[in-house]
Amino acid sequence: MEIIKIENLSKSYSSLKRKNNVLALDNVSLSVERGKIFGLLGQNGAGKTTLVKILLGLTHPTEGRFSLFGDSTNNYKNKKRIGYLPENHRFPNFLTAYQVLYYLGLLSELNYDGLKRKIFEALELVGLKGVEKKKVKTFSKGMMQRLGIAQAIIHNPDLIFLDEPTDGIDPIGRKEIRDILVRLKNENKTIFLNSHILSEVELITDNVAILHQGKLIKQGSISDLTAIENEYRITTDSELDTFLSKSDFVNFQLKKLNGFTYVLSGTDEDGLNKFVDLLRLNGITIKELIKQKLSLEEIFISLIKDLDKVK
Amino acid sequence: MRNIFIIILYTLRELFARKLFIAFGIISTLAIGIIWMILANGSVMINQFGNANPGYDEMEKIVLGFEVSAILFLSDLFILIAIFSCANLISSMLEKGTIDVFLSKPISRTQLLVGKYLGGVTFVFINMTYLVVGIFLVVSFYFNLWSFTVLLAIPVITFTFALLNIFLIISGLLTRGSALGMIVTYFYFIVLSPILAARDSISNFISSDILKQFLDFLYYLLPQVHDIVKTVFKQILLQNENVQYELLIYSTIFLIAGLAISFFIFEKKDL
Ligand SMILES: Nc1ncnc2c1ncn2[C@@H]1O[C@H](COP(=O)(O)OP(=O)(O)OP(=O)(O)O)[C@@H](O)[C@H]1O
Ligand SMILES: [Mg+2]
Repeated sequence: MEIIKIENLSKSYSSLKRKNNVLALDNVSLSVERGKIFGLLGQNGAGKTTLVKILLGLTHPTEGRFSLFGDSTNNYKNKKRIGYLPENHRFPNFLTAYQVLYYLGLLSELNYDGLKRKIFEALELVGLKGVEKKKVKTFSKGMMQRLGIAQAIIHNPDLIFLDEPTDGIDPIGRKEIRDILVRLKNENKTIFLNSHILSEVELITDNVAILHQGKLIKQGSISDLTAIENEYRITTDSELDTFLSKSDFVNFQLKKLNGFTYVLSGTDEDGLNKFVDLLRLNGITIKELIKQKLSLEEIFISLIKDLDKVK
Repeated sequence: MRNIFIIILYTLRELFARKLFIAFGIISTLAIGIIWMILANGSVMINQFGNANPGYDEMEKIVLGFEVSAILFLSDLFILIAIFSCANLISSMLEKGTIDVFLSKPISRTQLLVGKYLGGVTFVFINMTYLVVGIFLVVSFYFNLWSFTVLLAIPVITFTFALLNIFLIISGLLTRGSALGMIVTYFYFIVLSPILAARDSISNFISSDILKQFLDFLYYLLPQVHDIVKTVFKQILLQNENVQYELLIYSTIFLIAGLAISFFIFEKKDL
């Protein structure tokens, strides 16, 4: 089921001088399935935050439509089922961490009884136990971020928007947050993640979309995006140089990477199996055989470079 | 309803955290104390007026007059401080990062704005109640003469602030800051409103008919803050016959229209 469905969304921020108008989103369409972690990637100023703000009704789209939970009326009552961690969020700084969660919990229609228990659960989950009586104005950046995550999940929402959730958080904390997200996903929650930390996104997301100057330039599952068609890496126990020039395999390209590791390209699975048979016939032991992959970062950078070249 | 109530409560808490309740409390307590001292030392003077044994009616008029002048003087001061106190309620709500958190909760923009607006009004109501009831008790105990009509000062002054708060809300929404709101509201309260109230006497010095009509137009368009406090209040207390209730009606229309405009501005705003 599609939890988020966006059709042809555009947003232009108008300014007094018309030529300074910013087209922050340009005809973006995408959808997010229930129970998935979706990553929205893009450079600074690509329009990621703008997109999320539109979905939450904070900013009005110039054109296009969207629906959340199949409802396109943008009814504020739907927000009971939504959690949001804004970038650079702030809380009333005269309150303590506990009081912030209490206040926001009340607004999330949680009831007085049970709220206290939920607050302590959330504080524990994000690693803020013990500082609940501290005023938030004394919080460090990472502590603020953790509190932001706590308020986004305290009401057990079905759909969670996180804008740079690991911003300012130490490495251990990042791992903890990734674990929380995976846990939420296993509870069939849908997570919409904005990030530029691609190595992290790669670890947990199911699907990603890449925004560039307001346009959606790529979209798909992580495994599809990062896989390279017909390219395998093979490690054996001896030289394969004799095979490099085998006439049966003119379509193959076998490139030496290092030691006894080679990259085999230009063949489908059928050809790959024939090649393996050949190696085995010749008494060569195969130690490792894997499909070649790019990292998300490599894909991202090459995509952006290509686009810049076109210009 | 629940949402509005929660926002009002936490708006008061914000004002409390900024020590504004304590500041108002101290000023009110001082004022009540001073009045008590004046009474304690000046009782002879009142008895020296006219006959040595004034009738109940006459006495009540003197006491009421005393209370009214004290409250009017203090309420002007209070409203000036209240404008200062509440000027940044909207800009603090609209801060980037704060508004995002709040509007991601199941609360509508209108509820949030109403909560902030009423939060400021409630703040003034609470402080005026303390001041007026304090003065009322001191004076009434002293003379053993209980004129409850003086308590009307509480709603009248709260209403006056509710009108001025519209200027604060709209300027706050438009500029996301507190400076313009303060300037506009102070200007209206201290300069423009008294001028408009006195437009009849000013007209004698103005030859241009258009200007006269313009002043009239402004008078009926904008809330008659000055007149409401000074006239309606005095008329009611001193049992004057021709109470200008129509002023309340004009001002209520302004209040409703002002709120509608601010809802519209807020609803259209990109945050
Ligand atoms: N309120 C606004 N008024 C005018 N322009 C805006 C406004 N908000 C964003 N923009 C512009 O819209 C574009 C997209 O901004 P956005 O904040 O969505 O980027 P982002 O992808 O979230 O960037 P980052 O990774 O830095 O957070 C930018 O060019 C930005 O300058
Ligand atoms: Mg952003």
